[in-house]
Amino acid sequence: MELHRKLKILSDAAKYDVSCSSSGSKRKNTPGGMGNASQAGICHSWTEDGRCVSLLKILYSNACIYDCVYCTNRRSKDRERATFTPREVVELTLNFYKRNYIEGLFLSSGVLKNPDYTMEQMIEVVKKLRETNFNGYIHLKGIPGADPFLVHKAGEYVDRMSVNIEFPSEKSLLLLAPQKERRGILQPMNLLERGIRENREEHRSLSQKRSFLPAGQSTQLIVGASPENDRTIIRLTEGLYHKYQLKRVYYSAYIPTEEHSLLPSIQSKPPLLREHRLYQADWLLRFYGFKAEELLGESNPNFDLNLDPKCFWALQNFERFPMEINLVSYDVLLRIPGIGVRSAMKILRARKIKKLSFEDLKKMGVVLKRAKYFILCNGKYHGGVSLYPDNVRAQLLGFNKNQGVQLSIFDQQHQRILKEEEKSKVMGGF
Amino acid sequence: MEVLIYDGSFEGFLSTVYECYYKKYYPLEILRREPAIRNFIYSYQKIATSEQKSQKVYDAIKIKLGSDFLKKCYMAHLAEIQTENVKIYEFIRMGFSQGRIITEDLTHPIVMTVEDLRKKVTREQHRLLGLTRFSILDDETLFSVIEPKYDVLSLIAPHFSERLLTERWVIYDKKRKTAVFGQDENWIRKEITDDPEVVFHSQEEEYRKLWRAFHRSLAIEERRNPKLQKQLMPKYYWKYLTEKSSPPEDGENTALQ
Ligand code: SF4
Repeated sequence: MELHRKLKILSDAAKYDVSCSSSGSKRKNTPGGMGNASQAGICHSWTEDGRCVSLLKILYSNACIYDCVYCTNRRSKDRERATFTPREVVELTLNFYKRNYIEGLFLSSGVLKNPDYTMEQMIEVVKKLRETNFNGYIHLKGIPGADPFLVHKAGEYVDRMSVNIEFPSEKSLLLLAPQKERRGILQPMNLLERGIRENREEHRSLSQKRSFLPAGQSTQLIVGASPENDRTIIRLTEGLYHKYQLKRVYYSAYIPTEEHSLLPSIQSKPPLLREHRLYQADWLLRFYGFKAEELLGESNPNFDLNLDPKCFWALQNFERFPMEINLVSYDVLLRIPGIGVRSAMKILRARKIKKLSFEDLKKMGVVLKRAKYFILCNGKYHGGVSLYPDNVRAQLLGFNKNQGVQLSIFDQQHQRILKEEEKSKVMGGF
Repeated sequence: MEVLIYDGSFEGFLSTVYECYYKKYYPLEILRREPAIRNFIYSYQKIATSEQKSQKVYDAIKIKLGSDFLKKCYMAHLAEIQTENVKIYEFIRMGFSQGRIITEDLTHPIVMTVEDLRKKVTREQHRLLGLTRFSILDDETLFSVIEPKYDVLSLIAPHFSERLLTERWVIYDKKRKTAVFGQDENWIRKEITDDPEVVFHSQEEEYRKLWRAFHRSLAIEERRNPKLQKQLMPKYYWKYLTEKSSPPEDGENTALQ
């Protein structure tokens, strides 16, 4: 098959996978090498649906011996199959990279022959790339069920590995991906975590050894194909961050492509808004000091789709507000709806010079649309409604309505958040 | 009322700052070049670029106000918005009289202007790290043409110098008729008079096609949103983007076009 055709089939098959960030790695170029994995994620282009293109994201093969019901590559599905050779992937990556089309490679695959064979092929690719002194970013998907030793070996060549959890409960996994086992997912994650930890410790003492997964490991959850609620999902997320030290958990709104009695109907819309709310909640866990338990209790296990999780939390804890912007600490500032890391830092800085008024905040570019209902500036309240959670909720919802519940808007918000993450990483850079 | 004119370089600007600061001028404007028409109610003065004077100001800022402060001025100046030059000067003067603490005064109009200029330049710098496209020439040199709004060429060069360590590469800023040439960890910036003539490598077209095919197949049709795409990747930059600069080939999937 011609390379052109292969690339089309195998990039098309990989595009529904959500992880697009190439940031978080500090691979410096080595003498005589090509490439550096810049720490701030670099977008090289944007697709027609407004997503950042940063990596050559492809499957090694879309032929698969497994039969996961939700997947378009499953064995029983009639479709055109293609498989790259290691050489082809290497050439594509190097040539795209030199031309500055991409920051690196994101390679995943269907299960070809058996999990170990597939993993070996993928190792062949990344090994060859590193042997040509390619120092760009590489993200590799671990094949579920492959010998953990092989998964670990792959980790020596790449910046990030991910093994997908797929479903928030073992029951759903069993039902929807019958050949995948919980063990086949958690075992490699465990081993990778240990590898990263040991490497870090060795690094401290030896500081010479080649680094193991400098950008850590991540995983992905499919949202909306199985019945678990938001609470289950973010508690699992929290556990993953703690137990496996994951760098990111990605959520993928299930896009129905398959008709199956166990799955939402093919007409149902992908739950993009829910996905977006989960990303926001994930953000609160990682950067804002929130605990899963604070965000969603047993009695209210799902987010309100019309409110972002921080507003949702603030309304449930209304007695803590309004907060005096000139007094409260950084950690507390971050708990105010609408105040992000950058705004909180700005407030801290500017507060050294003078007491800040509402007008000052505006001038500094702090977005007050939401925040104004939750803050005092020099003792003054600027929310314009009396301080009852129901009033404030009505205001916040009205404001959401004006924005219109359209996919495009949510995608935009999502992009903005992603951009903010990048910025917070480059902050301090020249 | 005085309008000062310098040669557009940062050294020239710092030389101007020197003159203003020590001779206590309060210039009305600091222009990068001779204006098309001089306004007869103002008096004009040309400032010669002096290595010695600019170095003095450079060191003074660096020692008294720190290298972050200096970087801010340098970046703001690269925006090449000449009506704002006076404000950069004002910013430096404020720094000398009140100390580096002024950079925290985020509601002060002068500080806001400089911060805003710096942000514009930084944003474009970061953007171009991704949007710069190289072509491979028949002698294996990597060649790129850009036309940035602000003068970010020297800001992006170190990144590519590190990235393309073993390659020979050129980035040509067509708008400013200036190029950087890189090889073996080093790069130099030079002005050039004519657009360079280049011959592409025989495989170049093939890889462009592959890239376009890849790029097109990435979009998820249900989420198509060209407005968002333009917002994130302004049309201004499309001219030199391989994936945007030419129409889809025959027989390719054009459903998304
Ligand atoms: S193993 Fe992966 S590629 Fe194969 S059917 Fe399951 S989800 Fe699809």
